[in-house]
Amino acid sequence: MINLMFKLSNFIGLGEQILITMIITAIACALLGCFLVLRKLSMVTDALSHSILLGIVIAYFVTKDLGSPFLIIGAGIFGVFTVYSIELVANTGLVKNDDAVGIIFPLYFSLGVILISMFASNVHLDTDIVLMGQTIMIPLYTTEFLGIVLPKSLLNMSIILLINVIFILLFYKELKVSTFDPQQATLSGFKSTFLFYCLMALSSFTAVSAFDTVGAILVISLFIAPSASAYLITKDLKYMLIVASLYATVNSIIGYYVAVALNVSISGMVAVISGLTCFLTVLFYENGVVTSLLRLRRNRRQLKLDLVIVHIGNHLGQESEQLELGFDSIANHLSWKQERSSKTLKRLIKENYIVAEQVKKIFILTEKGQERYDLLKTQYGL
Amino acid sequence: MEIMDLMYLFNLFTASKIIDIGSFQLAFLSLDMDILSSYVFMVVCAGTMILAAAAGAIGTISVLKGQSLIGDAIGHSAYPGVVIAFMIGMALDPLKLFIGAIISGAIAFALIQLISRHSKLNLDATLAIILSSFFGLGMVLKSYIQGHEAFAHVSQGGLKNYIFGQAAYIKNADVYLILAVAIPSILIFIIFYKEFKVFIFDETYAKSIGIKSNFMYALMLVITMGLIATGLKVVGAILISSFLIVPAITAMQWAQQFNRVILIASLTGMFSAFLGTYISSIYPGMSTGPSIILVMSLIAFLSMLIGPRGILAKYFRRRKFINDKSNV
Repeated sequence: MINLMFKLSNFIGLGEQILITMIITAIACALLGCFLVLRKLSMVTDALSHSILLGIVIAYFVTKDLGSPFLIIGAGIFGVFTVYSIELVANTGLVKNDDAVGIIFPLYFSLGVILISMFASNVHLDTDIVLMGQTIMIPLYTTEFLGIVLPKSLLNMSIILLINVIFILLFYKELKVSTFDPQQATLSGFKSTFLFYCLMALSSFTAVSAFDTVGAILVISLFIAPSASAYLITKDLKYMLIVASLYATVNSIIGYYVAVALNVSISGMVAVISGLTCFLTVLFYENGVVTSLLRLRRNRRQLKLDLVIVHIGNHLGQESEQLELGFDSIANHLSWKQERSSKTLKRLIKENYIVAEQVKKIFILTEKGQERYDLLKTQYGL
Repeated sequence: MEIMDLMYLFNLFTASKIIDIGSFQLAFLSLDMDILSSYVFMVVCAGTMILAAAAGAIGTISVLKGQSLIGDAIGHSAYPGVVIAFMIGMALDPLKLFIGAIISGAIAFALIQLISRHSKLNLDATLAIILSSFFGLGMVLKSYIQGHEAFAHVSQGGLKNYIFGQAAYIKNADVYLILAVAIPSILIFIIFYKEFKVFIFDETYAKSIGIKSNFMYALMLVITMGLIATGLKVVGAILISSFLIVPAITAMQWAQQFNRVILIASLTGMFSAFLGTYISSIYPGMSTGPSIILVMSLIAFLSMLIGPRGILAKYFRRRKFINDKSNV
């Protein structure tokens, strides 16, 4: 019977199974991450991913069963409870929202760590597993679904991805309105709070499911980094969701292969690559740091050229042209240093705006230069 | 059929034995004099208490400035610096690791500033990205060390302590380092006390009387980063930010004057450090960081509940108001 069963591992290598699971996890997180970034809730994922540890421990005490689906449900509900307690603390007005995050998650995380070390006192808590997950173990825990044997995390994450996609498709309009204009949402008559907790519940369940494969820290990265990059380069929520998924896929692929090549932690590497792609996006997107600098430089150069063109155009054909535009005297009249003016003049000649008139020994405008001069004059109303 | 573990982590539970909660409380109530008077405990306790006092005082600045989560991001981001310093020095010299932590924390802070100033990403998202990618880098480097034969002969078990902190491993050298950072930090704070006060509550006015806000930010940052880097070994990279945030929140529930807030923050920090270190000394399995933070957070929540402006006070005031009204 076993031989007749369709095994995923017969067709796809173990490594590729890890990669596919990573990609599906990354997309599931990135889709929700878009809404979290837009709602300025990024650090809530930090709180969520840390406090889930306590949720899992408590859920384990109740179920006493490691394979139980109630473990995921319990931990997911605890995640929602975390968000609720942050809101509760922030709403007392005694502390700011940021501080509420900063006080809730260390408490839950500490409790989680303490409970584990108390009830597993003869085994040292393996920090790598809590923080970085067990990515390499993904293909080892398999399960059967519709006659196909596949890694359990792959199945879990695919289901979560499906749920997330369905949620976003169903409530797209509501999510959009309540994200960008909460007042409008209230006026339109649907409860923003309800949607907020739906979103948080999904984020929590996604984080719990992802936790066991990728660990607490990468969960944050998967939620926020692709969505933040997509936020920078798109102006439409639809495209943002698509671009974020693309970023998530690319990050996972690059991270996976680099990690395998260097024989280092896969989830750690994906987090590094996600940060890197996001940073590169910040540098090079339309209004990015480097792009803005380049644009400034180009503008400054063009301004210098234009100044000289206007100067030549103004004096050309006048009595003073010999003095103002002469090869040796022009630098004085531009009031620039010799070096700077000769550099600018050389560039103007090279770009065919002006030519050196050898008879009168002055610079005159070419046809292209004259066009530019006329354009500048109309533009600035000279 | 294989066992369907949700997490490999929970294999740990099956091999574990359960500690009797009753005896835990008993030991907690009657402080064990043997532990209190032991040299190791005194060293550890001195270290954590001084650190907590300094962090509590300095933390009030960043909390009042509304930048509490930056400490969290820098704490996480200091970790790769520790690992790199270890890789270069091939040893767990506290000073070298401290310098590594400072450098990587500073790079992270510079990146946070760059991204949040020059893009439309808000601070929250920037912090989350920097925090996760830097910590990811730390884990990558750590896994690289573990698999590399060049590091096979060097003991690296201690690196783990920089994530959760383990006071049992605190040595005299660590305490000296804590002293060397905490005392100058507090001194700087005292010297610039007036400037800090104006800078925190009215930045515009501070500018108008000639206090350079860039300088004040830099000063605040240098002190905060120094404390975070020294605290890594005691509390760990993940939870060190609480040393800065939680005592300040507690203090703000009780006092409204800046100097009192600072004093209360320092004292609650010290008290939590003492109790937390004591608890973790009784149970060697319990990491120091989480134990201290547990005490700290409980005090904070209690303060929010019973403080003069707390939840209970508000409730009673409201009830009194309703009663008065119904009497009329």
